[in-house]
Formats: sequence, C-alpha cells, structure tokens
Amino acid sequence: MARIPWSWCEGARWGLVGLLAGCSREVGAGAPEAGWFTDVGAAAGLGFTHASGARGQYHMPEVMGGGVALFDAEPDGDLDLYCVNGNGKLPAAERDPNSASAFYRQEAPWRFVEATREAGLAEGLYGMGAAVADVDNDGDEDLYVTHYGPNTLFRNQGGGRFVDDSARGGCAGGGWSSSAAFVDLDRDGFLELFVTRYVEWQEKACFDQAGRPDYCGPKAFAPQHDLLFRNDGGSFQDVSRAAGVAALAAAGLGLVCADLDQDGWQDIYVANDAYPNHLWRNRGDGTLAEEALQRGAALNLSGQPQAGMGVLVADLDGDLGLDLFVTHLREETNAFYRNRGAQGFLDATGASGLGPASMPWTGFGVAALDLELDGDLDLAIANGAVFHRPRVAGVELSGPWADYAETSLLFRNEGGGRFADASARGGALTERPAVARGLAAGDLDGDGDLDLLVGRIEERASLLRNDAPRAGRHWIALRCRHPGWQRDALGARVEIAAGGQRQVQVLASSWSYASSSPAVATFGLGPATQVEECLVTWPDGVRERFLALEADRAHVLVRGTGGE
Amino acid sequence: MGKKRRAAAAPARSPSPPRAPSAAAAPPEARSRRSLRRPALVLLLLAAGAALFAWRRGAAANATPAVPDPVTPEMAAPVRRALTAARAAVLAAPDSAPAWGELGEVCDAHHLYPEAEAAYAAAAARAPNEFRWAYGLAVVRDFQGAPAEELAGLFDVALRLAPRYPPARLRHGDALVRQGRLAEAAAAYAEAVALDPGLALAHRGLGQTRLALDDVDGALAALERAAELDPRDAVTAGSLAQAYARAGAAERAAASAARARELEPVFGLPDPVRFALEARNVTPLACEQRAAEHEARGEWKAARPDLERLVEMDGEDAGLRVRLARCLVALALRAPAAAELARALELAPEHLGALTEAAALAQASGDLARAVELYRRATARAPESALLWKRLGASLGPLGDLPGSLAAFERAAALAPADAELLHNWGTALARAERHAEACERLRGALGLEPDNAGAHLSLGASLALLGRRAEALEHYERAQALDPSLPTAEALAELRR
Repeated sequence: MARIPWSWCEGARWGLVGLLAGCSREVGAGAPEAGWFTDVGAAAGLGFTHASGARGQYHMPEVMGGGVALFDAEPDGDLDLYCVNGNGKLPAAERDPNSASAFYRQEAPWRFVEATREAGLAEGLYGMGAAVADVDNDGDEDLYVTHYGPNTLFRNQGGGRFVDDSARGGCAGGGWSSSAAFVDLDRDGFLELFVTRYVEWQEKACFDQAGRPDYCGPKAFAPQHDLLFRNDGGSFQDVSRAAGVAALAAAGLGLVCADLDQDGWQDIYVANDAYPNHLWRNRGDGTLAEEALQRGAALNLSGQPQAGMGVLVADLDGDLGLDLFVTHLREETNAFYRNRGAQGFLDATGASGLGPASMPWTGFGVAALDLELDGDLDLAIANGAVFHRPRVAGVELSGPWADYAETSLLFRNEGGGRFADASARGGALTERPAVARGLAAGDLDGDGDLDLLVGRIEERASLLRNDAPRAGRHWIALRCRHPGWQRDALGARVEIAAGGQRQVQVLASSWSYASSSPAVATFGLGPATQVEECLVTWPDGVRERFLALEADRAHVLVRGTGGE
Repeated sequence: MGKKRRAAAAPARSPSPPRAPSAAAAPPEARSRRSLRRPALVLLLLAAGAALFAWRRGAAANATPAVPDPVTPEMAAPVRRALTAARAAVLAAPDSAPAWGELGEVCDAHHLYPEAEAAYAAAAARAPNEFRWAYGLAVVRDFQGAPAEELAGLFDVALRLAPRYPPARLRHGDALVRQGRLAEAAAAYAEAVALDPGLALAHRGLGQTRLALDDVDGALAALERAAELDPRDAVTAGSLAQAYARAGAAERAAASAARARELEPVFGLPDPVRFALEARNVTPLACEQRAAEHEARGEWKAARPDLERLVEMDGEDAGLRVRLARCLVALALRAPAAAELARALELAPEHLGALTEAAALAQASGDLARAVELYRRATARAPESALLWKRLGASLGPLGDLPGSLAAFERAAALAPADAELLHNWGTALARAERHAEACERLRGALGLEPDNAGAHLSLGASLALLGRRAEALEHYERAQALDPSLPTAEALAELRR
C-alpha cells in the first residue's frame, strides 16, 4: 500500500482521486487483444452480396439460404469460392436471370476474380447450399447445388469449366433441399449422394410470440423425406425408397457422413429442425437403418428434439472418438454429443461449457479447427436468427434484417471436452452481428491454418483470414487419395501420433450448414515437428500406416504406398 | 509512490498556501496543528469520496428502474394493448410490486425475455417474499442462458419461497441439466417425484439424468414409471429406447424407438403458475388455441375474450365472426350475435356458416321471413344438409306456406330418415294440411325413435281422433298427459272419454 503523501497538493490530489472514485464508473479491463480473424473479402475481390428476395411477405426460404463452398475447381492447387444466392421469384421455384450464385476463381494469393459465367455456373434458381466431390472419378471436383426446387449437378469438364448435367445425371430431386453430401455407401468407389430436404412450404401467414408477422417454423408444414441417389459410375438413381430413407420424413437441414460405429461402412447423420435427428446406420446391403434414438443422438439430454441446423463430426474431447456437434435455435443450446463407443452418444453439452453461452443465439454454419495449433479442435459458429429477436448491439444492417442479425461465436477447446467462450478474440468473425448461414473452412494461403468463408443473408459474404497467434507451434495437412479413383477418399479416418499426443479426424467435404470445404485433415501439432505415425482407415475399412511425416507442410497419402 | 517528507519550511515543488507561516518559526502547538491539518484534509476528501460513492450506490439501488417498453407497431393490436396497459400501471405506481410483476408476466407470456427479466427483478426487489416474481425471474434468466452461479442463486430463492412446489423443482432440474450438473439435476428431479409421485415429467427427467450418469437400471425404473403415468409421451419412449439399448435389450429398444416415432412429445408441465402466465399471451395463435379448446368443451364465457381478439386481429375473416356469433348466442347475447353475423354476411354473402347461424337466430327471434330467406340461400349452397331443410320446413309452416314446408321436410327426410324431431315436425305439418293418415305414419315414426316425446303423442292423438280411431287417440292423449301435464289434453280427453 502506498504511503500517504504529506504535501498539500499531493494530499489534495489523492483526496480528489478519492472523490472522483465515488463518481467514477467501472473501468474497463484494458485494451482488447487483436482479433484472430480478419475480413479480407473486399480487398480480395469478393463482391458477392446475397439476395434473399425478401419483400416483406416472409417467404420461408428467404431466411434459410446462404450456403458456401471452398474447393479447387481447376485444379491448380489453390482454393476457389462459390457462394449460393437466392432470387426474387418466390413463392415460385423459377429461374431468375438477374440473380445467380457466384463463383470466384483464385488467381493469386488472396486475389479472386468473379468467373461465374465463364465457368458455366450461372443458373438463377433459388439456391440453398452446395456440395462438392468428384462424382465420376475423372480427377475433377464436380458441384451439386441444392435449391428450393430441383437441384443442379454441375459436372466439371476440366480446368474449372462446368456443364449443367442435371437432366442426364438423374439426381435433380425436387421439393425443398437444404444440405447434400457425397459418400461411398456401397464401397464400389463411386460416391452416392444424400440430400436432406426440409418442408413442403407454401405461402402462409405466421406470427411470432408477440404477434408480429414473422417467418414460419418447420412445424407449420409437412416435412419432406431425405433423398438418396446411388452412383452407377457417374450417373445417379434414386434409391430413397429401397434404402429405407423415404420411410421417415423430418425437416432435414444439416448432415455429415462418417463411419460412426467403426464397422467399415459409412453412416449418415442428419440434423433435423424441430424433429429428432436421424442416424442412418449403413447395413452394408444397400439399406440404411435409422437408430439415432437408440444411440442417444436424436434428442437433447432432456429428451427433447431441438432445431438442428449445422452439424459436424469431430473428436472434440480428445478421446479419439468421433463426436457430433449440432447448432440450434435461440433459447436452446447447441448440442455436443460425445461418442462413447458401444454405449452410443451422450449429450454432454452442459458439462462442456458450450451450452448456456449459445442460448441467446441461433447457430447455423460451424467449423472445428485448431486455431492455436495446440492439438485440440476449437469451434467457430456462424449465427443468425430465423425469428424476430431483441436487436443486438452493433448491428450495421438496416431494414427488417437488422432484427435477425446476431453475433457469431468462437469457443476455445481447453481439453477433455471443455470449452471456453473466446468470442472476444474472434475479430471479424465475431465483432459485427450479421445474419450468418453457411460456413466453409480451408487453408486459402497455405500457411497451415484454416481460413473461413461465411455466407450472410443480404450482405457481402465474408472471407476471413486466420491470424490467430501460433508462435512456436507446428501443423500438418493431410489428404488421402485412392489412385484408382483419382479423387479424395471421402470418409477416410486419419489418426496421427505426434509429440506424445494422438489426434483423429475424418476426411469430409460436407459438414457445417449447406456448405462444402476441402477434404483435408489439418492438425495442430504444438511443439512437435514431425508426425511419427499416421494411421489411415480407408472408407472400405482397410488400414494403412504412414511414418515420419514432416510438419509444416501438406501431404497427400496415396493408398497402397503406406505400410501395415 | 510516496514522496519523502519534506522540510516543512520549504516544500520543493508545491506552492505554499499564501498565509501559512513557516512551520519552522511556529510554536510547537501550532506546528502540531498544521502537521495534522494536511492528512486530515486528505482523509476528509477521501471520506467525502467514499460517502459519495456509497450514496450513488444506494441511490441506484433504490431508484426506480427504467420501465421496459417493448411495444412495436408490428405487434398484434391486443398484444400492444396488453403491454401498454401493464406498462401504464407501473408508471402510475412505480413502487408497486404487483404492477411490476404483471408487466413481467405480460412480457414473459410474449417471449419478451429481457423486458420480463427487468420487470420481474423490479417486482422481486419490492416484494422479495413473493414466489411468482422470484420464479419468473429464474425461468426467464434460464431461457436466456444465464451463467450457472447466477441461475443457482435465483432458483435457490424461488425454491425457498415455495419448497413444496414440484414444477419449480422440475424446472430447476432442467436448468441444472443444461449446465451439465447432472447429479444435482437428478436430486432435483427426485425431490419433484417425492413431492408429486404422479408427475410423469419428473420421473422422465430423473430417468434421463440417471442414464447420463450411467445408472442404467435406475434410468429404466424411472422411465418405465414415466411411461406408465403417460403412455402418450414420445420423449419418454425415445429415452426408453436409448436406455434399453444401453441395457443390451436391442429388440425392446427398437420397439420403443418405433413407438416414439408414432407418438407426439408431451412438453406441457402441469405448472399452474406458468399456465396462468401463458393465458396472458394474446397473439393470434394463442387465442386460436385457447378459443378452440373452450369451444370444444362448450365453455362459452371462457371462449369469448379470445374470439373477440381474433376478430379484432382479423376482422375480414367471416368464419371468425361466425364463431364469435355462435358463442354470443350461447351466452344469450342475441343482438351482438346478430351484428357479427350481419358483418360476416357482408364479407362473405354465401358463407354457409354465417347463413346457417343467422337463419337460426332469426328463427329463434321470430323473424321467420328472414329465416326463410337465409335458409333458402343456405340450402342452395348445401343441398345435402338435412338440418337446413328441416329448419326451412319448420319456418315455412308458421308463415302459412304448408306446401313449401312439407316439401322441405320431405327433402330433409330423404337425407336423414331417422331424425325424430324431423318426423315430429313433418307429421304435425301433415296434420295441419289435413293429411292425417300420413301424419299418423310420421308421428309413429317419431315415437319409435323417441317414445317419451309428449308433443308427438299429443299430435298423434289429435290425428287419430280426426280419423275416428278414438281408442288409439285416447291412449296417446293419456300418454301425453302423463309425460307432460302442462299440455292442453284436458278437453280432448274429456271428449274422448264421453
């Protein structure tokens, strides 16, 4: 404690300090840290602004679109962007030549050029989401766009030039599709297509709990069953009924694919909105069995269905099990389903620290990424309301959408499945409220950390460069390819050992909400400079070991070049 | 930080007070006084600062908080009115806990949780022993994702005020689950079960938390009890599916899962405090749900306010006006009912419900000409309605149009031959047309369906007498008299007995 000064003026000064202390407000904690994400979209040439077509009639598709995709269209080794757009034709499911989803080709690091028409990707239907994969095993990524209305399969002809192959492709579907994912369900090397569908929407007046006109919820309409298309060497056949998928209708929004029970067959998990989620276990005979209820992944811990928009599969608690994470509505919590192996899943949201912090927000796109490269996965969640809400401070949007803007969230993994709210460090991800929807993650600048592309309703999509501090920590990025298929081995399980720590990820391009990301497993290694061992479980269950992989670079693991 | 004590005679940097004598030259007593003056002044200023701080804090605590104003023009008119009225009550009596609490409940009922929170907090500050405000505050803070410690404190207060209120224990359990405090949640659910062993949701919550705590046997016991208490609950069935799977009973798990898909989830906690609050929600959906429930049970007085709100919110909906009219008729409020029906017919001149109700009201009021006009329009819209033809027939007869009346009854009977009232009215009309043989046939038909219909006995007796069948006529007159002594049978009986 300081000595009391005896001089007159000094005494007066201290007395004045005491006096002012009675008048003062709380003093802040000091200058904030620099944010971990920087929006470089405008500088990079990303001018796409989402158009919902809203004209005050509260057409439900207006509030649900906004998927995004990061993929190498050409392929030339760098990631290109695709942003899904709405149009002004609702309630009709028609093309609008004045509205189109947008494709941006990366010409140089952080420099993008709009090339939608040039790439053959202009269409003008009311877009919801995007899924990317090589459907014909020709070495090029194809693009599937979901719509309110028939979906579109854009087949890559090479060099990033696409043609609309919907008519021949056999996978247009119909109704109101949301997310889609490619997955090899029958282990024949060709990727099946699973499409989640939402509701049989029609124009209807709905109101919020204060009697204000608002968007309807999913229970105002009949749900639609999801769709499964079998890939017969590049063309598709609808096998929804035969596989058992058509037997259950729920308002599907998000999905992930992985071998969740580690029986060598890829399974599918669907996040449904206001209905129990679905876990389609692959029986290996062309049929799927829905077992989410028995396995503990259908409902929250109180046994209630929640909203269910974005979803991802990742090892969030570091026990090498593939957990599930689903984003939810305001006044609900996001859900962290811990994978307990033979005991199924357990809703561990409350104990994880992910619960109450998420209750004021409505979550859509989500990414699990190691921001600090310390060997565990953090969470970035894109938020935006679907009903009127109290206006959030800092909203820059004008008009009705201002009442739907929300702050996105960042959670730091503290280990063992515990998370802390790190949104104060989110920078451009979290500092400005928006009506965020799709979220894709990819290493756009090859520096080993994952950057983000976030779709936002009625705003410019944001391209967020990852600037999280990482001094002294290392990384590794792994792709898995099957030489016979000329494509990424979607569904491969990649487990590494580095510096005394083991980690696992699944190679998947479809997770989050209505979005697609590169199928690359990017691990933070902490101080380790090498991955001593990498165990790959290929989608057909075959296991292969790769040794001594150098850190701080990307590797392509080719099947057959490893050891047992 | 501190500065060295300087020689009192010559402070190096600070100007001396102009008249202060040199300390060195002053007598010891004066030096002593001066040496105390400065620290005393410092202490005085510090004390003043502390007092000011304390006063501001106290003032803040006792100050009337800002009255929430969540009203926006887009809200439905009844909602705006309810919020405005509740707010005005607070402004008129800012120290009134009930006024603040009422505002809290109205906001809460409309999911305006930040405003509800502020109002409940103000109410609780003014009436700390009132359970409703403490409970409401805990619930809305829970809905907004309050931190665990804060929530624990809020529920603690509420539960101390109403320790034997099972729904509060159950909600506390739900909040603890969201916080991940599963053992405490299980204890809360167990307390709710102990207070009310018939509370299915408490058994359900207990089962779910036991399952999460890997007490599979305990989970099954609680969930099976919940299913016994409420076999319709999809949530219980789903949780049982998970519990059976964990117990290795795959077939039972699959059966429960299949059952869960067929059922609907039961969310409604029997919580009278929250029920009363929900009744304050005056949005179209809430009004419609409540009105429909009351209408189905014939609770017209209870249905009326919600039907009036619905009409206010959508005055162009003829069907709503018809429902309101029906309610008003049931409450014997004919004039307002007639006004609603008139408006409904202005909006939709061929609205079948409006035509039917307006015709019935006119008929009951004795305006048979109007009733006939409306019934004719209604039967043109719905020629398959026996009821409408029957009522048309009943209206035409007293107006003297017997042929029209008989034709209408005949149409009705073709559609609904086993209608006792129809047969009675038709028989009476036939008798009036002096077609007594046919009248007797219809009236016997009516009595076959309703043997104790005194009026039918009377009419049949009259027709039989006119056909000369005195003994049969006497029998039916005597039966009529026995069933209803007020009927005018005396003269006929006397004549038949002569």
